[in-house]
Amino acid sequence: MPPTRTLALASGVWLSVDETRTIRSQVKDVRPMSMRQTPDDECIALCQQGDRAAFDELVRRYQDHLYRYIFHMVRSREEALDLTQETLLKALHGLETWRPDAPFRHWLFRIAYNTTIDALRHKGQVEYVAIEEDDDFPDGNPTPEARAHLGQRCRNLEIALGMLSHEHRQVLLLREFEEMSYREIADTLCISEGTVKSRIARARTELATLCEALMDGAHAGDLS
Amino acid sequence: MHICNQNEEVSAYVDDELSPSARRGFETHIAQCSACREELARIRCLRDTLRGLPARTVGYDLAPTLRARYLWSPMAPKGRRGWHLPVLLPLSSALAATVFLGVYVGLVISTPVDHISSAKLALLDPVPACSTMVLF
Repeated sequence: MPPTRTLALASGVWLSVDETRTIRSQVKDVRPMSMRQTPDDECIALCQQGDRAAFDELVRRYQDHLYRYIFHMVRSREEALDLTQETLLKALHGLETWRPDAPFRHWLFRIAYNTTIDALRHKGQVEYVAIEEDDDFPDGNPTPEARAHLGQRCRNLEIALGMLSHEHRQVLLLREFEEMSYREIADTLCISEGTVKSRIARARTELATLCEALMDGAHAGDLS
Repeated sequence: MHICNQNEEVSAYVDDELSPSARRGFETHIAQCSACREELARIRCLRDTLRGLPARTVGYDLAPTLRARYLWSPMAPKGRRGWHLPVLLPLSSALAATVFLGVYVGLVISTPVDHISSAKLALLDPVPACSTMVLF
């Protein structure tokens, strides 16, 4: 009996989750080798001259980073996809106004932040989207119970993340997912470093408290 | 519950964002403060779980879609539209020819019959006329 969550190819071969991930990671990156090592400012200069490969490289380099940030802000895949494209288009149209003294990544995330906040304000209330049950949560734990527990923790974390205020959530996302320093986050969001430091601390405290409450609620549900 | 009012220092310490002197001071403090040690462990566990969340990705290459949207947007610089000139030129020529033909046929059809020459009428005749008809 084939194991769960495997991929069947046309040849009828069953693959494990790890093998599937390996193949996906190998197929996904179709960028020319020369472009992958090109720094952002050189890519931008080429793009400004009409170089199509440079244009594609900039998009491919940042699309997933932007999508991940925007998804956790708006909590909807379709909307995150639209806003990611909108952000990249705004950045590409505005390339001529970008100055090399400001890191491109910070400038790009500032556009993402503005675009996302506009969308959230337009939408009003933030909707919480349930996490899909077949999400690829990290495995590698020996027992199904441990894996289920980790999966529950991750789901609770995603729910709790959606319950934070926008100001707290965005600094935490830039810190944890983009690994920006406090200085870089301050530059991106045009706030002070002190504000970044206090917001991250409050966000973490609130997040930890919410996760514990959700976990306690889940355990109470199991017992009843 | 954390009762020592050093949340920001704990968080900044986890991120390695304290100055060297502040870091030394904080390390001296947590050696004696169990509440801060517990909070430190809690924040580290939270950070590890956050970073272990499933990577949200677009799932496909956005470059072709964005390239098309970028070229056709009114804000695209005029020079960039040259990327598709070899395709645009024959397409626009074909479109112009189609429009011209349609206008021509429309004019022919709308013109009263007696003003149309027999040659033009013959174009629209499904059954071509013979100059002489041989009946037998």
